[in-house]
Amino acid sequence: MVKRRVLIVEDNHDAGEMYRILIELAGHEVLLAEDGTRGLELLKSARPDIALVDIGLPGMDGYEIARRFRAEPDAGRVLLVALTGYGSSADRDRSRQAGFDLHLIKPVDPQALQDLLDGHT
Amino acid sequence: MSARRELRALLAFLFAAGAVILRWLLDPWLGSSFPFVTLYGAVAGAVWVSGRTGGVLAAIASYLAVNYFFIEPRGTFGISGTGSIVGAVTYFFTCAIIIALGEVTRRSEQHAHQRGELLDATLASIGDGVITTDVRGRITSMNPVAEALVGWTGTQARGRLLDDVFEVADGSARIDIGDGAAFEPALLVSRDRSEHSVDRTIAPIHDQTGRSVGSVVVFRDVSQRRRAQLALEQRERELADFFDNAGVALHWIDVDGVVVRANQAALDLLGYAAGEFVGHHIAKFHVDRDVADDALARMLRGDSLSRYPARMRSKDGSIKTVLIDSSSLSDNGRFVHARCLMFDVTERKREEETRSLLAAIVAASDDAIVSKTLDGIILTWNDGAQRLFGYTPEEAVGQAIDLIIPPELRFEERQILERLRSGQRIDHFETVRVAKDGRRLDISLTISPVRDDSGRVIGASKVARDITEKKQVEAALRDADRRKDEFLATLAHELRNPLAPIRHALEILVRAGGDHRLFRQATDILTRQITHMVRLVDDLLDVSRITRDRLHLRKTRVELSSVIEHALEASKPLLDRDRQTIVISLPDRPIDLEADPVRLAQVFSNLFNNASQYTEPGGHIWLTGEQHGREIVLIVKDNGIGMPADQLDGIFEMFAQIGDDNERPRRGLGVGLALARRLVQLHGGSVTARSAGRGLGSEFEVRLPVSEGPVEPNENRAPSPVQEPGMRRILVVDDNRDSADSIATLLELSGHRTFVAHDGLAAVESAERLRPDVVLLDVGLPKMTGLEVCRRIRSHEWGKTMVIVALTGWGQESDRRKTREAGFDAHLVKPVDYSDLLQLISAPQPLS
Repeated sequence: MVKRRVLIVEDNHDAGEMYRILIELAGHEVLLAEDGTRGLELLKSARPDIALVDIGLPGMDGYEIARRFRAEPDAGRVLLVALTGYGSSADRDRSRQAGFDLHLIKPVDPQALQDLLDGHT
Repeated sequence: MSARRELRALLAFLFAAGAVILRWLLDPWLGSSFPFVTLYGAVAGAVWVSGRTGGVLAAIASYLAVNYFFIEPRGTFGISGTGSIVGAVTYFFTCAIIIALGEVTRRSEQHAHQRGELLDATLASIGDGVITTDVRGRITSMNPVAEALVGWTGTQARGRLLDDVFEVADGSARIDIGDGAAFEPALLVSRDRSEHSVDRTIAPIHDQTGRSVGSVVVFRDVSQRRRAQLALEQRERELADFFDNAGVALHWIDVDGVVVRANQAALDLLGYAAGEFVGHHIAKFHVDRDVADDALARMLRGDSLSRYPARMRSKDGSIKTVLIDSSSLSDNGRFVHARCLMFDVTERKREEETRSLLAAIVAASDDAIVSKTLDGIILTWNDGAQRLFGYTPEEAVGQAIDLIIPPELRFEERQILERLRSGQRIDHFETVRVAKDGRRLDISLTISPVRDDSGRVIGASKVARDITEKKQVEAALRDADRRKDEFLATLAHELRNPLAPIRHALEILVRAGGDHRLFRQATDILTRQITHMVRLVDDLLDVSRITRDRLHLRKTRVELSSVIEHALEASKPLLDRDRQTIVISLPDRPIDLEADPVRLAQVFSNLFNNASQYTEPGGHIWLTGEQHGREIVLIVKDNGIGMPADQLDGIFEMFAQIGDDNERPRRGLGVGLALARRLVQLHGGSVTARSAGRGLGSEFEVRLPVSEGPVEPNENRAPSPVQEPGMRRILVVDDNRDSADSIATLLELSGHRTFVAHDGLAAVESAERLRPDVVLLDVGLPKMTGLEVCRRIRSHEWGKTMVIVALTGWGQESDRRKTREAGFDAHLVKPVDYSDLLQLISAPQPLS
């Protein structure tokens, strides 16, 4: 199993904690940010393999993080995953246009999360 | 004259000669005797033919001849002897007598003849027919007029019976005339069978002795006169018929004002029988006495009435409005009668009234009502049109309707006119028109063709209604609909947010194995997130209650600071999370309010949450309160993102969210402010929002009425009985917050209303303030033990009937006794079986 570095950007502390625990239980490294500005910072500086980004964030929202990060050189290596409670096709289009690779609807199925970490998606 | 005289003389000599010759012939037998015997006749004849002179001539001439030839001595004229002288004397004496008699007779004859001639001439010259008969009825004479009428000549008729000649069609010509004259009309049938109307008089003829000697019939052809008379009578009848059956109502009024004649139309008009109208004073039929008097006075003066309005009373009591025309008939300046025509204008009057009414409706209508020709020229323009479009009637009438049609829509008008021409009506056609000031108006048009009497379309009437407002309402509805859709999306999002950690926490519980720390962490999160979801569901229920107007308050006397404290408590997690500070500044002295403490706390909690949500992490929030008269004014202020002015009104709408669509992430359901406003309104207060603009923070001002007067004993103010069936208000007291929250959450999920306290003092205070139905009380509490809390609650009148349940880890009989003595109704040992708890709570409350 490849140990991956995963960035979680989630302002709901409980939700963020749960991701962290689950992903750590699966043997991966987790970085946690609770607002958009911190999220973008970590995304640039820590260069995770996967970033799970909540769309609805105080300050800078998930779309903005994706857009800004995609403007960075060598940004394509990171798998950007949008996490949101909005599930319409318009919402999916929007996250794709912002630069996300995947759009997952909350609550994310733990198996889907597992597959994501295993690189099966 | 001399010729007739000579002729008469000659005739006298001829008579004389004849008599002489006759004597000469008789001479052989007479000799010298009787010399004059033949002469007397000659004298008489001469007198008859030639008069007295002729007689004398004849007497002398014949004497001389006889004396010469027959008296001895013959051949001489001498008289010889006495005998001769006596003879001569006798002769002349006799001749004198003859001449005298003859003369008398002749004169009488002549006179009679002249009279006869005169009569004949008279009879011939007069225009009447005259027939005379003898006593036996035989015709003796007939004049020319009679001849012409009966067709017989006098000669033919003479001697015939009157009846044969004077034939009548209808009875005998002979009537018993008695002594007097009789007059009667008859129809004469003449000989050629033609008929003549005649008037005839029959009178007897008497002689000098008075004896009837015949009769005279005088008759006159009156056919022509009769015809003229018949024609007159016919004309009279026709006129009467015309009068009686004329289509207009006619009546005559005499000098006394009495109706003397009325035709059928007049009677029909008012519904009277002839006897009920004719012979009565006209004033009796007028509704207005003064009008009747005035009309009558004018007519008697000889004035003609023309279209004189009056109201007449019909027999059935209905009132007819009429116009009267009249003309008066005068004879040598003396009023005879007035002839009146009545025109029933009741219907017309009603139509006029209807028309006036319609006109008034058109004038008063809020809608613009415009009529136009088929060429689109404006004919009428009501006040509504002026109000709507801004043009006065003077400006609009006569103009083309294009005046108010936007240039790009002119084609529309052509289509409209086309449809109108074909008689179609256009209903509720929504379009745009331009007012005088250039404003575009959303209007709804209904256009109907206007037809003349023959049904030809001659124009159009157009009713235009301003639907700008309707359009706005429609837009508002669409907006509300859009907000609802957004709300549903938001709701899904908001529910999914806590679901994510819950799902993961469950996953962690599955994987945690014996890791107690992980187990605890996961359950804590489950509790928190479920509580959050419960709050969401509560909000949803409140939304539902607001929309159905089923939100009820449980008002009691509360102190403002305690309400604010509870609100702060509820909002604290949110403020803490974003590291936001809140500064409270309230009046020093207590402010009492008549309020539902839970709901009012919800108001301020919602305002705090709202401030927090729209303020950056680390921002500041202020609450200031000041009393102004009988109002407390509370302002919640932040230094957050603020609001554009145009959104200030909308933020209190249900599901409102500041920002454009998905520009900003959403937090919450967008019902907090709507709920807050409604709750404040229910408390008799108001809430308004202010902002200097984007990035400049927001202010929410709440005004609430302050309670005056002394605090009344709480016992007298029982909580409102309005409560959903089966629902209990439950106070959960536990110093372990997660434990308290989880139980509260469970109870909420079962449909109860819960409140939480975490120490003994707060528990007593909450019980007093909230008057719950049930108190679930942890025995081991900070500040005051559960036993003491129970005793204190029971010491109050309001606390006697509360169901107080002990929740404790201690289950010994001694423990149960302690709680029982302290006033608990039940004793449950942790971990509590949830179904037992529910059963206990749902059971009917024990009577005290």
